[in-house]
Amino acid sequence: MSDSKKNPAREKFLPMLSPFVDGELSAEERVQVEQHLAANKESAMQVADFRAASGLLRHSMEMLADEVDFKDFANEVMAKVTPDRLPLLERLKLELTELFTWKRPMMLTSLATAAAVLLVAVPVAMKVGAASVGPGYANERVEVQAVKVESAAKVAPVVMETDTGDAIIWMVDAPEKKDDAGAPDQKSRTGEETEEELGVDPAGQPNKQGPL
Amino acid sequence: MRLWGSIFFLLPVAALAADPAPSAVAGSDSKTKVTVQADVVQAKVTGDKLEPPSLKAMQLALSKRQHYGTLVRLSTSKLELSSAPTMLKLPNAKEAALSVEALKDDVATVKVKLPPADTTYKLGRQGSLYVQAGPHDDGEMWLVLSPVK
Repeated sequence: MSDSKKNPAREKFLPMLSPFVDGELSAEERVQVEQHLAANKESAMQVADFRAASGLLRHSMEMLADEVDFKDFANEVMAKVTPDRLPLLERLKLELTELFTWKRPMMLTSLATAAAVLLVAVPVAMKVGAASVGPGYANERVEVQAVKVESAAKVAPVVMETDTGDAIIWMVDAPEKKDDAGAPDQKSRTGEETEEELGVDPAGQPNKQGPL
Repeated sequence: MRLWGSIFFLLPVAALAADPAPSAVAGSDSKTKVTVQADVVQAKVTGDKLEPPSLKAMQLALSKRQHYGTLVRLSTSKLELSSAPTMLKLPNAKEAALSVEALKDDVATVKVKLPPADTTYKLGRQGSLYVQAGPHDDGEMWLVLSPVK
């Protein structure tokens, strides 16, 4: 105390001695302290005491650290820090939330691009599919419109449709037409063609059979 | 801005894709040709032979009414049909006349005159038309009309 009163310079540099030992002073301050230490023995002795205490402390810590096995240190710490893994659904929700929170522009752009591509690709694919078989095939399936049979042929058409879109026209034997007198039909004798529309056999019953 | 710009650019492209070309001429047109594949198949109840193996589909289709053990394709041809009849001779001395009756909104209506029947049907992308063409060589003759692939 009396020394510091006698020497105001020591009073000024006293609080800088410990930071000087720890290397926390700026270059200019360090030069000033060094100049002061060169001129003041007591400050110099105090700095030496600080360095001795620091060295002793470091040595003690190193001795303690040498006694500890740090082999699984990182794993043990992470095991205590990382919680149990979330269920898959929760993890997905969390990742999506983070994506839409922090990467929203990128996500929106990607979604819009995908939607635009679908908007173009689907009609093109459909048109290409239709165009690949040539003109006239805009219909999805074959459609039988009418079947006419010569009456002289004594057959009747039976139209069948399958689940796969096929249409089959069978010719089945039809009963012979007779007039009131029991003689065969005059038109058939002359060979004149008569028309029997699809769906009606000579007995008047529908012949068409739907999808099988 | 880039996002909206790309969307607005793609919208006209999408519109074009939905209808890239004008529809086919409405009504019949002698110049408009429609292509079909015409196969002539010999079918027999006996035996166990499919030649070619792709006739399995035909065997299944016909089996609902009649099971054919043997199906042999005698001929196959790609026919370009127009309003004028295209003739196709069959091995059983019959002759089929195929013509396009109408072509409207890209849907072709085809007439198949194969005595004793006269069939009118619309073409479709899926499925075939099977027309029984009469007896031949201890079996039945079938005319199969399909889309060209």
